[in-house]
Amino acid sequence: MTWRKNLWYGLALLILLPVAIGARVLPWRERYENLTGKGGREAVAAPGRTATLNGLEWRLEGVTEGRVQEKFARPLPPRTRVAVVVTSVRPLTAAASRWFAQDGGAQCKFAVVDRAGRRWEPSFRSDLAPKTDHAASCFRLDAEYKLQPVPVGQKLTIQNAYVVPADAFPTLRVEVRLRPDPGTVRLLR
Amino acid sequence: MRRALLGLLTGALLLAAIAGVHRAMPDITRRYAPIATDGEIGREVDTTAFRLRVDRMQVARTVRFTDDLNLPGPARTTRGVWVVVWATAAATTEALQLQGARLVTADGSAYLAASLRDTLDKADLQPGIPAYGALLFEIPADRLAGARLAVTPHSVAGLDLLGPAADIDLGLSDAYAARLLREIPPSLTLREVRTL
Repeated sequence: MTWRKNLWYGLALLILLPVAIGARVLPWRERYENLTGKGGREAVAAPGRTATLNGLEWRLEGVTEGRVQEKFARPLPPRTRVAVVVTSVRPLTAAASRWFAQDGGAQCKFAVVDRAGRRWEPSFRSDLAPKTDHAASCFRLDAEYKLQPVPVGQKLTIQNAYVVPADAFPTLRVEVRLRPDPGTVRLLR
Repeated sequence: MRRALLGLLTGALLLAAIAGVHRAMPDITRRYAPIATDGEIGREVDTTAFRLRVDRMQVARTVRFTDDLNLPGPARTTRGVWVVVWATAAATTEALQLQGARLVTADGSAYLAASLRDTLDKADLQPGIPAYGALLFEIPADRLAGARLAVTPHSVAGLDLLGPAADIDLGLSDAYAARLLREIPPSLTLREVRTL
């Protein structure tokens, strides 16, 4: 009789313990995701396809090799290559359209990741890729340099350059972390 | 009666054990301290976030950096001594800086790296792209013996809770520190950080 009573206590403990831990940890997990932009929902685009997340349709337009554009510019670190990444994003809803005018580009963070999981953020150097009229992040400015939404259905093209080790270049994929509704878009090539 | 005594004794022992555990428990700063990987000069330390190898260490009364044209800049003086730690560092998976580079002296004081440009702690370290440069510390001369290098990504300790850290033994015995101070050069010229 005693062992049967203990079994019930044991089973209750098995249920209550994960519930108690979950109740403590889950609110912190949400705060962590909001703070870091990590976690949340994910969307993955196969090579040449689009991925949709939070009403935004993402596409990797291309990854090409860049080079230092100016003759007397600072040289690149040894054994590195420049990856010029062109991405496009199209808002599909009114809320997604307004998202572009929220935070001056801080609502999305671009990076490239190689097969080993190493991650690089865009270079600040402006002399690594040809000059274009593409945006540098998820925002569009009007003539007075004020943020403006991207109309629903219209495409915003974004270009970034990355300095990466030469061995990472062939396996690079693009990753965009979104805020304030945390999510990650992965664009494969 | 015997059973009651036994219960009392067990209760007292348990209470004593609880008090002991409570006393032995490290304070919150130590409990959440960065997780350090130990190393020494010439050996690469591999933490979860960065790799660091201290190549050599020097001391000087003044230091000066060379500019892009290799011309020496103004002399930086100190009322103590400059400790110059030459190291190679790289991020492992994500870009970071080693802003929490500290020289921890034998008495437990921690000296944050000097706020000068062109030192390794100010460099953006990228995965797979190692950088070589100097970490620069300004300390009283009498605290050189026994000093160790402690490195974390952030200068604010609260940002490195349970984070990666390197703890490097610089081999600064009393005799070696005394010799370094006896033979201290008046000035050292330092090159800016370069990628390898």
